[in-house]
Amino acid sequence: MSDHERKLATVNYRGRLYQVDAQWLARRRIMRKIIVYSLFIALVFVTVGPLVYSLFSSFSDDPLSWPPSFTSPRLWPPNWVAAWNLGVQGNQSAWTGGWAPGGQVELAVTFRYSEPPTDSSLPQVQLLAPPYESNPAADTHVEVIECQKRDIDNGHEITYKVILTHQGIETYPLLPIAVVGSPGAEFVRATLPPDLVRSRFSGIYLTWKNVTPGAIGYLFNHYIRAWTTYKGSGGINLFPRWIRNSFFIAGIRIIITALFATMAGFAFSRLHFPGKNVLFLFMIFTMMVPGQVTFISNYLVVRDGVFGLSKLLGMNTFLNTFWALFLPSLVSTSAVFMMKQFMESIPIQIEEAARIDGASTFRIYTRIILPLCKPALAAVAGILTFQGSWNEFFWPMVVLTQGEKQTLPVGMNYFLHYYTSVTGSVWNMILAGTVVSMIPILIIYLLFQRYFIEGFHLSGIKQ
Amino acid sequence: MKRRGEWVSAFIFLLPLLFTLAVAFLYAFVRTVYFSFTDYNLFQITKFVGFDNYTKLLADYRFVLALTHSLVYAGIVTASQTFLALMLAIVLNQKIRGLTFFRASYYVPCIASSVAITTIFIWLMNRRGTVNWLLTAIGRYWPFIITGLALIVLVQCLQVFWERRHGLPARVLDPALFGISLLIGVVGTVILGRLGVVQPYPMAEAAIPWLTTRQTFLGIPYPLVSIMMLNIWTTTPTFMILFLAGLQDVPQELYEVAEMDGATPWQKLLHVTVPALRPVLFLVVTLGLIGTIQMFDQVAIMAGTAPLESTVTLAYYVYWNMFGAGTLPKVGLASAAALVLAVLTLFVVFIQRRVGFSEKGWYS
Repeated sequence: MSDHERKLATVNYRGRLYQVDAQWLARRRIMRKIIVYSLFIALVFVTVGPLVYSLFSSFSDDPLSWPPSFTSPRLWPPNWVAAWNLGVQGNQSAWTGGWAPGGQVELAVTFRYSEPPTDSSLPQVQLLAPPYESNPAADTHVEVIECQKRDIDNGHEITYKVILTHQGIETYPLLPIAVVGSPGAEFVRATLPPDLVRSRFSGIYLTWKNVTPGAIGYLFNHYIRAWTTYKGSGGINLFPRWIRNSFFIAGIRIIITALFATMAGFAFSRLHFPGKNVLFLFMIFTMMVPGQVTFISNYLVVRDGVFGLSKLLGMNTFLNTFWALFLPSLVSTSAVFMMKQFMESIPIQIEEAARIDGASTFRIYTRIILPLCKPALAAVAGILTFQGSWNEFFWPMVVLTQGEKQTLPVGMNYFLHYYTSVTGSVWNMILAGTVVSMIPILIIYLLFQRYFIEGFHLSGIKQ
Repeated sequence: MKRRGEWVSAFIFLLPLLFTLAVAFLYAFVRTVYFSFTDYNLFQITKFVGFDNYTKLLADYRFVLALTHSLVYAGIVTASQTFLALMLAIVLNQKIRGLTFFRASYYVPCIASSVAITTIFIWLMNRRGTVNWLLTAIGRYWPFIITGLALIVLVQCLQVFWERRHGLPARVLDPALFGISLLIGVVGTVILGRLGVVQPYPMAEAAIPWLTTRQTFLGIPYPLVSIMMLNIWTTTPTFMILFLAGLQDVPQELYEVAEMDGATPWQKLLHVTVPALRPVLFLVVTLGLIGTIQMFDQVAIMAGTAPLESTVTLAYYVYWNMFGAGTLPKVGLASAAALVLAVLTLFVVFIQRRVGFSEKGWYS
């Protein structure tokens, strides 16, 4: 490029002016953009990464593998097809599988025998007892045939076909089996990858916790177990119960907040009464006081049925009832605050016109203010209240001690402690439960993201 | 006459709020003060014991631990998340596309429940978990990291020197030159690794028992360190967004004037950015202190794995005395501790008011 074609630009650097090539400046600007974008993206990995990682690991059979891995056989689509086919063979059910009369399952298993003289007799098939279910062993006939033999470098590979036939009349949800290869054999592949491969002195054990899973049953195995294995009194599945409770409580909370917070917000923003400012400051003050200061008395109030009010409902106490959750925090102070702020932005002229026409205060509230508040109501009452209620932990933990009354966070806490201590860690189930517990709130967040961010600036940042 | 009618309707409209404030707050607060002077245990007849509970508190090593933990925790977490958020905000203060997307993803850790987030952290911090694996990887590959950094610094210095020799106003951290330095640094390290000049350090696998130990790191128990990391992780991005919003309001002319006067980037940060951000900075620090000093959830969730002495905070100490100790609830002791917690929190709020930060600023 010749000199006269160059564009020059002036740069001020540390108080001195420089004449530089415009291209030189542009290059610097572009590179800065690239670096900034990379940093922004890196920060996304830091914030969202652990959640995505736990989502992937919730499908893994061993989330504590070393080194950590993102993949698992359950996330490999060809295995979904195999699981689909096995589900159809076992129970005519492609999605959820099972073991029903008339079912016949063919499972191909390939072993490698590296030393020619090793024992290459037919593998043994053991029918295992499924946990908590009736045992399908008596109804199942097993046959093993050798169907393909292939020579490879210093040894050979043999593919066996395990044929399982249902001979009874009962339907079972699971068919767990183990295929035991002779000692010295090496596992190569199978129609469906086994859940567990263990080499023992007596042979190599391939275990399938369910050989007829169906596509959903295979992919979401840990989710189904989290959903169905944690039982409360009377054998009910607690996990779905917690979700139901959480939704129910959040729903009631939303209605209560929509009503009471707008009422208080209306009084603060539109009505004149003595002590208004003092009351408002006092309300702000209560927002800062930690829940641990007031919970002792509130616990006693709830235990005694709110000064005996529970007697009206035929109960001696409100402990372990949903009433306990609503009563001490009938009105969310942060919601009142937000409603007041919003109502103050509504022009007062509309209201004055109505007053001249002789409308009562109540009428102004129901006919003018409430309809104008719809957007704020959606944000505050709907979304932020849902989030607060869905995630609330301390107070529900104090008043809800029965498993089937608990909300999702409290229940999840028990679930976590149970599965990390009693039976050894079953992290795939715990992670599956965690993922499920986050789904509703994440969906709502994705849909109404703007409201959340406004809400944070208002109610302080959750720690 | 009309005025009085308005009072009545205001009272009716405020009734639910008044009930909540009166019963769940005022009555509760007064009762907590009362209980703190008695030996109530939920079942027996109450006896007035004067300041007994308070002297007992001071004699209980767990309370002293809880108090120290709470203060250390609040101090360290607030300081580090404020500093990190401020630094990130300054680096990321660019007008870029897709800010909405980035902002949305930075709030995600804040959206999920503390139980879900803490569960994921307990998993990551397992003895055979991902955090220890990462530490092992860093420990083994630190010769590569050091080599890479050294190469980058070296190449950057050479380039800056070269450009300045040619009369160009290259900054020490000139982005265009830095891109080249980064590339050369990474490629150079890979080549040196292939040639065997740089070799991994033969370190044993890191097996830090993050959650199940009484061991301490610089005097702070490992489980508490984990909770600190967790909290910094969840809140830093949120505070960063607050800072970013504040930075948009700093008048650009201030920087131009500073540049005219020959201010270095560091001087601009110290004398323009930070003073202009003071309201946000103050908000972030007080919000951080109020939030951290009341920390409860994470301790309660980790209670199954971590020993009490290495995680207990004031808020958890209060709960533990009520329901966690496996004995009759010590209501008096719990109340006294709760009041200490309240005083600490209100002290922060009081300072906030005194410094003259209007409540509007908080919420804007």
